[in-house]
Amino acid sequence: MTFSVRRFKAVAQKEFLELRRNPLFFLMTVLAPLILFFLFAYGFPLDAKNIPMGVLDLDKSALSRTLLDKFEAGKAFRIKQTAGDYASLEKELSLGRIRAILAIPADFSRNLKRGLPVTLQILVDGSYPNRANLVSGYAEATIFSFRTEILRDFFIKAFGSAGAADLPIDLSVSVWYNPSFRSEDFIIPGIIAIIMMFFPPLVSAISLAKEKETGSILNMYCSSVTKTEYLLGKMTPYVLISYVNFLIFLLCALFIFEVPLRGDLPALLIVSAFYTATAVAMGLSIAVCVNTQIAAILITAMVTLTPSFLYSGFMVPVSSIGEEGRLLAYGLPATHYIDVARKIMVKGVGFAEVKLSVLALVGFCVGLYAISIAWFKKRLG
Amino acid sequence: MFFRLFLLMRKEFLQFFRNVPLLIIVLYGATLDVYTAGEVSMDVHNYPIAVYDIDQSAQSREVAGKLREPFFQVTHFITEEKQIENLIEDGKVSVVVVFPKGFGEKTASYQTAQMQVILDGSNSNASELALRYLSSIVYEHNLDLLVTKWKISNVTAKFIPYVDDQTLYRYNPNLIDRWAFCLQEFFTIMTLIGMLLTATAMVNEKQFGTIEQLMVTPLRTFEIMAAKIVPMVVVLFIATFIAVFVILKPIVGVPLAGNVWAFFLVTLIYSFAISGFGLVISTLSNNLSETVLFSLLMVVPIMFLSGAWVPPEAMPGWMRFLVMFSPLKYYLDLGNGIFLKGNSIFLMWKDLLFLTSLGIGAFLLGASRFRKVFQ
Repeated sequence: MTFSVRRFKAVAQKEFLELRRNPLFFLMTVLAPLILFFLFAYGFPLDAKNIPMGVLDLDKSALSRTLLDKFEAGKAFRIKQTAGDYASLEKELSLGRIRAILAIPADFSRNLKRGLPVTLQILVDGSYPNRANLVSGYAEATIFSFRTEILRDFFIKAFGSAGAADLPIDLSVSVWYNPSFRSEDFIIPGIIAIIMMFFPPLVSAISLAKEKETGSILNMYCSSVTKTEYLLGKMTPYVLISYVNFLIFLLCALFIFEVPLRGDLPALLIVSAFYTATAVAMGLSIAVCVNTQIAAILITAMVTLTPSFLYSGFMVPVSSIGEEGRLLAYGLPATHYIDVARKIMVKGVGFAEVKLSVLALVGFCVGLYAISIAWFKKRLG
Repeated sequence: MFFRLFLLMRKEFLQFFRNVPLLIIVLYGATLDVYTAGEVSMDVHNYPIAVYDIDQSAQSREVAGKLREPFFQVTHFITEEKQIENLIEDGKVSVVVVFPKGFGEKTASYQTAQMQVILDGSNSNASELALRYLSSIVYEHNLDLLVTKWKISNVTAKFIPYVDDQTLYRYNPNLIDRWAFCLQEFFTIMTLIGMLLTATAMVNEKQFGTIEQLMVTPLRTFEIMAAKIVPMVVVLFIATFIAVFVILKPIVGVPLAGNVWAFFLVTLIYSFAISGFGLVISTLSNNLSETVLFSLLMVVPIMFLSGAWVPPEAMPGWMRFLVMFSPLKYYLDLGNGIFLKGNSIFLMWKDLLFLTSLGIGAFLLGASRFRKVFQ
């Protein structure tokens, strides 16, 4: 049977009416993603901030005070407890109230004044390894700058002239695309990708699984509509609504969170349309395979949210994910979309530079619809 | 009374165990899903870096040689300037180090030589980290040069006031990402399954009208509620058992530092708390799609506020306040405390208290709404 636009439109219209007459559902498909977007966008500072730290200062000298001031000066650390013995600090660490303990030995300033090396001990809560790395990284950076000052004083004092401590190699750093290291520029395109991969698949999965579970799909089985017209028509409203959602996210990103848009706007809009259609198709292909809503929901939630969150390069660059993980990463539409979105928005590249990722997304989109249509059976059992 | 309660519970169990796809999903959630979460590593290592050595001197090569694993991996040696832009734009490398002409000569004669670093700032976090590694590598090299410059012999070099630091990691000394990720995924998936199962079990009866049949039985509302919740708690409990003894301990290798029975006790309390949340949702919604939307609207903030993704101290103040109401936060802290830190639950009594009160609160709210809706 040939594809009839009239029948396709009729299905789309029916679905749209159904959505509109269920105001709660309609509101939630539009409002819920927006709420999550703001929650994520405001709550996702990836920079270390206010890390609560305990200090065991056995030296209690002016020099150890200078070191602690260095820790307090940056926004990374917040010294929470200085007094007390080691045991009480360790208890705080085990309860998660502090994330690190800095121990300054008793002969800290005495040894430094005599020109002897000293060792500071840092004890970091390792229960979240990525956070532990961040904590120790910031702590080492702080100690590094303290060390530099001590050495500078020493060289100047030892060799008399102020130029004695000039460093032979001077690092001149230039940062491209994001000179102030704003994490919003990096994170917000990712948040859009994650949310777009969460709600649209769910609503599309529910919409088909509901018809199957309640039996209203029988109406379609005995009508003249073909499965291609039916599935595409049914998904159209969801793609459109999700795309409007995306446009709202984009406006928020640009005007509230001030993420730059340096590249091609049309390119971004086209790629996002494919991504939206892919997301909807993920839900569709799952709903085609199962018969109950709860199964469709749980599977969709498991295959879309967590993998996209962990593997897509949203938080960690794909290059530092392990070998098998990287294979999985490239199998996720979100990975490709985040790559394209970041490159277009932050790096300002055009269509040509991202064509591989765009091709991958188009492939996912067409492939998922083709599979869904092929698997969908227009009969009972 | 106990007999009819037992009969109704049996019905719930049968209904659950006959729904094969659902059974598979719960099993998958407790096993494979938890396992695969451990595949990802958040640590930034082997950072791809490109070197553009215009100088080609012994000195520049010496510095370039120090940019090595585990922090960096020199993947590209550039010969032309325009390659820099291509490499960074394509995301092949995020750091390019340039040794300009005269670098070697200047360092050899102890003049200040420039070393240029170009960073891709679009991945702000990773590039900041990379810059930090890079600075410390160059600094160590500088120090070596200074020591030679002032002809400090090795003996006297020991008498430089050098502040060293030594970092030790507690609870996960080798920082194995897998432990944290698998545990986190397990706690999260239990929340998702627990809430959805309870809510949908109730709403299904509403949607298909079978609730009418329950209403005309001599069962009291309280009994209907209990019969719905207890089987779900049991299912969650079994799933926990499988996850802990089949996946987390033997395969993932999470050290069970604390008392495993204490963890099961915590899980029991948590399951009831979560099914309380599910109960509230089921009274708010009339059909499954509404249930799911309400659940998601509840589950995702609960996950987000739990501190699993973002440490609470880094959140804005108003959000930190909301963290208190995320039951997952307590489950996570208690679970990590028992699994990794080997804490006793008496030490963590505050978390336990908060979790229990949250659970009771949700349960009472759900129960009172349940009475209104179903009577």
